[in-house]
Amino acid sequence: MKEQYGFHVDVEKCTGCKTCQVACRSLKESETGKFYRRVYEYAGGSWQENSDKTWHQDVFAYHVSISCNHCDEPICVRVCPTTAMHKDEKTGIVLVDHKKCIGCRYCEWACPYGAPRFDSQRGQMTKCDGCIDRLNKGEQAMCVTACPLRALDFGPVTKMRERYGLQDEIAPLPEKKYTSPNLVITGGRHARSALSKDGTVLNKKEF
Amino acid sequence: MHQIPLVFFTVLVQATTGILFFSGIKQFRSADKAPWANSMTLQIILWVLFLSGSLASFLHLGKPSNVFNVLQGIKTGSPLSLEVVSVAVFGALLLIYNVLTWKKTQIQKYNVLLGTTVFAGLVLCYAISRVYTLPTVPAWDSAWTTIQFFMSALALGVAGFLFIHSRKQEEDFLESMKIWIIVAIGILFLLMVTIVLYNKWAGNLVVQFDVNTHEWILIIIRLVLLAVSISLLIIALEKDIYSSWLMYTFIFLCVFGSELSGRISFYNMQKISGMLQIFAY
Repeated sequence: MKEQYGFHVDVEKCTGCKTCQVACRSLKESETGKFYRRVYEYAGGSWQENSDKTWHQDVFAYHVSISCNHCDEPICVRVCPTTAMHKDEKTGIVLVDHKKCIGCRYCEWACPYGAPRFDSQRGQMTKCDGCIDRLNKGEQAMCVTACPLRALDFGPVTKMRERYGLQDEIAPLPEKKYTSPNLVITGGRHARSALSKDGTVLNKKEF
Repeated sequence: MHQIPLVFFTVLVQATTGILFFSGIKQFRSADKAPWANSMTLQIILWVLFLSGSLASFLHLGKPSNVFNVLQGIKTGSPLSLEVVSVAVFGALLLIYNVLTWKKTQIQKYNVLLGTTVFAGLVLCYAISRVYTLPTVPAWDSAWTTIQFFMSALALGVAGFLFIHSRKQEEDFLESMKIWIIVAIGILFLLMVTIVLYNKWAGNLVVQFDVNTHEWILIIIRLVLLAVSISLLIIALEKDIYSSWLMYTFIFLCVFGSELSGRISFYNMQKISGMLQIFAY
């Protein structure tokens, strides 16, 4: 593999406008309700009693925009019974070979990020392909281009880490130990760790 | 629920392997006595269950020819591919055994083949359980999955075996029927204990008893159907009811219904206990 690609998500900048979701869906023409990129609204907190019997609140909220993390050890690739799910040799982007995919949805079960999506019209799996066609033309991924807050970036993951740091876990995402995702996160002051139970995803019904 | 074909596939195949397991034990124990494992009733039931299960699995694969695509995953060790291979090996061995023992009265010399087929059935049960032991699905990723799948095969097997056995009027019929009923009560009771323990364990990870998920209804249905089966078996034992076709059919259907309910609940665990817990319904 020449260079492994990965996403950067700046949680501090993201306002949850979901332009990335809409832009991605418009480009990929995926069926209604099937988002390759999803923006989770994570929030929590409550009133806390101080020692002097006064009260303060520790309410927090932030948005995490996530698609496929094109993991180093993608479990979707490992479990795929047809080898349709594979990593691109040049970029490490996880792709679906539609000549092989039978739509058994095993990858959908296995992926902890919910990246592979079932397209009922095709009867096959689909997912974020990192806009590989655009990359080959020297353009950026559509979600990155569309983000009005410049909260997203995509490129060789080594460069992402050099530019944005090494944080790669945040609630409500699972711990990185399962698949070694190529994801770089800028957390911000409200960010909670992957194991945190402080908050809850507020927009579950969107997915 | 897109897993419905898989619910039927797993339960029907487990019933097939379970019934063959107990039939094998019966055959090995009967020594030179009348053949059992190649009885017409047994073979018809095994093939109806196995072929129905296989047909259900094809529905999940989209179209039958896709089975060849699935074989490509053998080289990468995909549990789903290995499951398909296990189904094929088990089916082939069962077919060979049936052909070789067809209408024969002396079938003891085929006991090694029968033993191999029974073993292939157990391997198949294990292969099915491996499909679900995914590290990214906490509620599935434990020995409980394997234990539950084997317990399901044993429960369906012993209930199906009693149903078939109750139609026989052999010399040692009464004595052996008593023993098998006691074995069945023990297995069904153990299955109930397994269900309770598993849900207690999984309860730490997930919210299946949340009133919004309705998961608890499936678990209660499963337990009630097993309790009904055990009660009927105890009545049969008390009142020496050994050849009531209706009663043993009903018991088998109760266990079968219980397993269908349990399997739906099992598949739903993925949705409510996936890593993100964002797909909660």
